[in-house]
Amino acid sequence: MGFTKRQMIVTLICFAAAVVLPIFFRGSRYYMNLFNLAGIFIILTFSLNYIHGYLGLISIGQAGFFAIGAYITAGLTMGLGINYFPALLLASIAAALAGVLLGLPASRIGGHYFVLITLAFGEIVRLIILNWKEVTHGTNGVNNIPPPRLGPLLIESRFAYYYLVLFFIIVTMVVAASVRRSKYGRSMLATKVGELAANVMGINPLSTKLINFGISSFFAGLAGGLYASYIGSISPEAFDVDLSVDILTMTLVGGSGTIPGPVIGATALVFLKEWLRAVKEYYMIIYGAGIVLIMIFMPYGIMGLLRRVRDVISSREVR
Amino acid sequence: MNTSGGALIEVEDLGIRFGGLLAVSDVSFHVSEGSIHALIGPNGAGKTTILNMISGIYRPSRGKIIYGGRNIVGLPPYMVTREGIARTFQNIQVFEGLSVLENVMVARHVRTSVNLLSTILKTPKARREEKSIADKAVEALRFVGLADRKDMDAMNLPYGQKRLMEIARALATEPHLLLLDEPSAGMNEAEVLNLVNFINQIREKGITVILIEHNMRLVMKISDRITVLDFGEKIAEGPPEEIQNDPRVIEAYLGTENGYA
Repeated sequence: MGFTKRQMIVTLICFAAAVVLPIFFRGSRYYMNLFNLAGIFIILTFSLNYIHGYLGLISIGQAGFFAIGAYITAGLTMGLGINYFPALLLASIAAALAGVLLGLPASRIGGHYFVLITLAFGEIVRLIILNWKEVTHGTNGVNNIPPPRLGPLLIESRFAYYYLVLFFIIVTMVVAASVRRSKYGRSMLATKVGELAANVMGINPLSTKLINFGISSFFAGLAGGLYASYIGSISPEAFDVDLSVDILTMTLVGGSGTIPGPVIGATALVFLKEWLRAVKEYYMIIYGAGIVLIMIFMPYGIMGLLRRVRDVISSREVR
Repeated sequence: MNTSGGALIEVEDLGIRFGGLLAVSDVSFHVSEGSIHALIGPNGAGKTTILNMISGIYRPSRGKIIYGGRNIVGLPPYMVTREGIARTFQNIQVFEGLSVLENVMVARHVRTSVNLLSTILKTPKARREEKSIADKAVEALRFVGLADRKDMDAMNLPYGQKRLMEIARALATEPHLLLLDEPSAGMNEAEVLNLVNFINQIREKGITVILIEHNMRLVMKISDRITVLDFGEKIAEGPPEEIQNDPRVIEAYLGTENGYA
């Protein structure tokens, strides 16, 4: 079940490209900002990729975990003066715990009800942030969140931040690949396609789902912590349901359940949204229609399409 | 295990009601350790329902299932599997999207112990465990003759081989008791002969088998004991020779279902 040689080469080329890319765009604050946002969305999309790709469930509450990661990271660094990196880890763990807690009731139900529970969760988190003014400052938000400090190094510029985000994307991808090729990943996929059969084969469906939700929300929280220190100020309107829907769209467009899918989906949509700004009021129409067309003609996302192309080519080679 | 011939599982007064329908009523039978015990009866007699109760899918309305000295009624399916009872399904249950090997590997997880963090960090212990999962799965596939198919998408296996993969998957959980639900369904003559061979080899490994089967030649050939069900009730039990000549069985089952004789 190891990587094929071709997969290794493609991975290395993409990785090398990601490392040198900002050198060409260093002068453009605009593009560096887009890259960094895309990077944070990549991690967020990986978070939903676990729930949708490995369990077949749809969550529109990922913004809730993202917000938990962002606010706790901000609180720990500013309020308690903890260094950014341990704070980020603690915030991600807190998000993971929230995911497991939400999973306790949510994993007992499926389908539409699961979607509703996650939607409600996202709204509850947003409303708590909005109204718990002593801690979150309500609509004013938390401002002047300090940039991450790594020893003597202050990660302040967009250029430097790019590499911080890239590092965490790689961590996210390595974990995703490692989970997929482990007993946990197989248990999730078996539960996704045949929960009862998996149960009879010795897989505990509840713990399998809770582990999935835990990992998923850990990475949503991680993305939140990165976002908070990158933007420097956070407020409740950044964490509404639109964000959760964006994450879902990125997951589906990229190709759920795969490793490259979230990278492709998040990057494509961050840039698409940005470029469509030029058409102003037609933006939502084009964006919406584009998503619908992708869902109709590429039900397994861009990765699904690439795989189909690859299969066609390789079957021609055989002939 | 130790005393060959003692009962491995004792089904006592088992009954289940689905709404107003009494699907199984007061069925009792004992299965001796190391034996092949067949459950036969016309469609709708309650055979699969009994297997579903033993494997924890259905909770009986009444009665006990004593396995290894304790009542396992109420245990969820994955716990029943952990206790050493594995099964195959009448309607094949393949984990779609997983390879043949991965399908069987899933069944090994119940015998593993490495935690999530070690798995993600790929500690030496986790790597060893993963390798042993794969090795044992290949061993189970080799047993049913599917080792060379291990990297195929399991959905692409021909029907008969899917059934064999299910047997490999059940064996991979290291059961003491194996429940086979119509293993020969959809198999051709050659495959059925092959299957008889496997079931005998499974018994030689010391695994007790409960078999639901419509192929009477197969049942008569390999069973040590047969329990006959009709409309959710037990109507006869005994060794094959006795069952073949039991007038109640002939009337209720063989007599009305000529096709099976």
